[in-house]
Amino acid sequence: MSYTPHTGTADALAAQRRTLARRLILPTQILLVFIVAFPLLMQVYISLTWWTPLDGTLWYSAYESWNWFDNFAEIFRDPGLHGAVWRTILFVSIAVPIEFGLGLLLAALFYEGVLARPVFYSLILMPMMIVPAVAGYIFFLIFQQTGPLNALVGIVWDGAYQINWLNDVNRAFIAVIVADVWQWTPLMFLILFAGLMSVPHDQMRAATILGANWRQRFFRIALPRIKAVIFIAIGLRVIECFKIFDMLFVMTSGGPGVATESLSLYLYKQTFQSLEWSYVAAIGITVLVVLSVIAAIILTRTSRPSNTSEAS
Amino acid sequence: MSSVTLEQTSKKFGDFTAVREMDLAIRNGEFVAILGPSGCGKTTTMNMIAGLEDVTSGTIRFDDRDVTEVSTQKRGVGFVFQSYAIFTHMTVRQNLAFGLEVQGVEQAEIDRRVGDMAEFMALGHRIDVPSAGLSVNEMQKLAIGRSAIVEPSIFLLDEPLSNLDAAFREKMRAELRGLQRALKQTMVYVTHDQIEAMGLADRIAVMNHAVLQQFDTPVNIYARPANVFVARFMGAPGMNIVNSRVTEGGVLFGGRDADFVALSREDMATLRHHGERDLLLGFRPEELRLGEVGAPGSIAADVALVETVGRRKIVHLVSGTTAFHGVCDRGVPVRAGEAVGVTISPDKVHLFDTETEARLQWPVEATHG
Amino acid sequence: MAEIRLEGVTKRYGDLVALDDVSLVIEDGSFTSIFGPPSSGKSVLLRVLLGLESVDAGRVIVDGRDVTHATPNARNLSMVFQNLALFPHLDARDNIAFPMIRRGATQEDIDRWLEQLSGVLSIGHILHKRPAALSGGERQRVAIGRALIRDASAYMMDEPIAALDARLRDAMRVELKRLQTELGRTFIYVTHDCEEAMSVADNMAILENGRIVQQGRPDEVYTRPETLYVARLVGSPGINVLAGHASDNGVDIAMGRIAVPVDAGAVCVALRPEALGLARPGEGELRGTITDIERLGGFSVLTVSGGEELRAISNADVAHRIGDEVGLTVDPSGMHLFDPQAGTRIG
Repeated sequence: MSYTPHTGTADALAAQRRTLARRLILPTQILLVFIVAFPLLMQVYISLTWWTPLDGTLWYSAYESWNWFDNFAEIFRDPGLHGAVWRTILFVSIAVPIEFGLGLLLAALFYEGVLARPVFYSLILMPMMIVPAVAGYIFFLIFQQTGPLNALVGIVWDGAYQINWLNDVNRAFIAVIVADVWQWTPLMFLILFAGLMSVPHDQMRAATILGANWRQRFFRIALPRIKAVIFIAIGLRVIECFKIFDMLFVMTSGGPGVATESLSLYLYKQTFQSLEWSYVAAIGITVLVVLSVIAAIILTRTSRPSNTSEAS
Repeated sequence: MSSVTLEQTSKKFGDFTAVREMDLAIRNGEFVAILGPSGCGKTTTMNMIAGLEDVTSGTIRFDDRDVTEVSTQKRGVGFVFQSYAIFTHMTVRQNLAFGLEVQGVEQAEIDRRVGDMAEFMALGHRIDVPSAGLSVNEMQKLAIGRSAIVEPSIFLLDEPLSNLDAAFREKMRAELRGLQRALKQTMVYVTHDQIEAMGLADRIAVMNHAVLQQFDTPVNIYARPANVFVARFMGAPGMNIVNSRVTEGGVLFGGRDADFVALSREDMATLRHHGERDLLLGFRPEELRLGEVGAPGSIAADVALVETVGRRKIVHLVSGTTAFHGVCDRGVPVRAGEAVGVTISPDKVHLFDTETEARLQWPVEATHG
Repeated sequence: MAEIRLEGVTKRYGDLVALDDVSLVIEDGSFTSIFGPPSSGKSVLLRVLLGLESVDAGRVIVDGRDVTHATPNARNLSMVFQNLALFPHLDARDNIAFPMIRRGATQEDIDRWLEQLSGVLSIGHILHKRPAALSGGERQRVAIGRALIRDASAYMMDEPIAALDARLRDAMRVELKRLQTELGRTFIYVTHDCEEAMSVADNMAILENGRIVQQGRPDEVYTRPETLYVARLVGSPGINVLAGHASDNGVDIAMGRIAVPVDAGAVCVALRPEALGLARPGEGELRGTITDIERLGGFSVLTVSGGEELRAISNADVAHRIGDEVGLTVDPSGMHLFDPQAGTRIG
């Protein structure tokens, strides 16, 4: 061929396309800057000062009480905060495993067709549709000393009507876990069920024909194939659960004392009762960083199992 | 291995009948193909044999054992899926061992049998490879090996070759037949490809619209199709079917007086007591001969189009308003636009009833060989 | 003149060369099939023609106009996609008319075209139906109709009938051929099915790893394959390929000696199954034992072994049995010799 290729033209074309693409996404980028970056920067700025709304100055004048990292240092000294974090962690590490277990059980029962799908499906998903504050209120009523729960337990056990659920330190903690499990098991179920549905039907049938029973099919074929989904479901719930607020606020307001005070509830009190806005900003940033690290770890874990299942 | 018997087996999904009163007796060690177009009920039939679908009515027996109510796990069938259904999160070894492990076979026994099967399937060098990385050829072997290792009484295969390209399919077909002979297994093979069924099976069960049309050896099905559907379905291209009229001594091709197809003496005897009547005349494209126009006993036709496909020519012919086709070697000089005389040998003629579309010649049940 | 010309077209994806110096001339009014196994570059070639992919080198010329860097809609080429891509919310008539409406054609023009097309495609009776209500074959014809209604320089089809079942496929390919002859337009047909490629086209191009290895009439390709690769691709059952050694105007293979004028040395012998004729033991050039008989209806395929395996086609009522000793005659027109290393044709 005497013809010489003009690669320059091809490159120019590609460059032109890239420029166009950049222009098309610019408006979205600007919008994102405003809704994400701006509040974040504002928070960082305030967290480095002593500013509170009581100062009488507007937030952008906060530099007048600049204190560098004193707020962050306070985080390490604040026993109230430590207690709240510890309780939240305890709450997460009890509630999420229960939700996962129940969700998996339900998903398995549905997948094997043990439960009549059409009837139970909407029933199971209903809690998830309820506004958390409303759910909190429902459980607030259920756990009253004269509430339906005590009445129900009273049928089998005589002294039950005296159980004081929400005013006892330990029982209140159990009560809020029950409420959270009730509300969020459906989400866990939904994600795991969707995962199970994506397991190739032929493989499950092949296992059946080879003589595998229900349990063998489930643990040897289905579960290994939805590892990534399990990671995502648990990760999602851990992060969400860590931020729990509205349900607790309605049920116990963190009480009795601080027995059910979660991190979010603590922050709320610092914000609206103590008006320590700059301190709260510092905590908020710290939590954001910690959760991001956790999320990143989970994400790398989830992208790995799918690779290793193909390659190892 | 064992024989499989279906007696009056039906399957309904709501109002829809997928399989209607099927009687099928598969012998011990036989290779049977269930053949039909998509939606004819062939896959449902196989799923019923495997126990993956419940039977609406009727019985299924393996040898003398009634398995109609036996669950899939307990039936002891081997099943090779169209997708092969390899457990891609396991290695080749784990795939092969799965069936033995879930049945609680001892570890030493499992190791021995897995090793033997891997060798037999020529997968020995790939045994610790993750099965997701296998080639299609190896996947087919693994799927068969994984089923064979539990020593099933029968083997069911659901279109295992349909995902492959043409050249490779031929090779795999030969391999599959070799395997069947080596394993001496009763095999039931579902396919929509008539060439595959002809090439593989000892006997073919042709299905259409939930009903078994014919169950016989490939040669018999091809030579003596039980009805128009089977006649058209077998062969590429399928049999020509022409509306015709029978008279004294033969058949009027296309019902016109001009063209006359002679019949054999047996056929005339069969038709004698029917008198003059309409019927469907069938003849295979590869069994007609093209000659001079006006040759004695020939049908005048025009060549509409000639397709040259590899070693053959497919000749599209029109006689009056009747269109049909013929097949000849690529060397035969025939061109579009030519007029030709078509002769059909009397012993290559098939006659079907216009209404029932059933074969009129020699009752099919009486055939043998 | 609607001639389409590719000159030295190369397309790379990173290190992968999808099209390697492809030069191809598609004449006006011809029916050209582009044939090759999966991932040999057929679809890339089509996408390059359509302008959906840029090229790294070479030129694309349509009607004498260089369109290498022109956008798809400036090329005036029409396309039937493999998945048909019909609009589900429009009936067949609107689906077909869509390209014309978009171009602002008058209702009169549209009606005139529709009438002509529906006659040729025999879809007049289904024009009021939506795609969901149509059968596979009908949908196919509507999709073809929509592609044809544009007055394009050429009409491209990417495996347009691959999704249909066997009987319908046979009928549709004849239909397509008739359509192209009647309309006299340029069709470019991409397929991985050898029978289809050979039966519809009057010109075929065969791709191997992004390179065109042979181009010509289907007839020529079958009777005179330029490389071993082409010989293996076309024909069913596949061609027999054996190792041979040439000397003194003959080739020795494991099963006998075939007389043919050729230079001495190692050769690759390819024998079409239909070129082998059964003979009595001792007769014919080759000998062996029948190890397998596949009776496929109109014909049988016999496997004859004797050091190597050969597949031969015989008539349906073959009298032989497995284990019989036979001789085989060889029809020289069905024998091709290739260089064992390069795979190129000898003689």
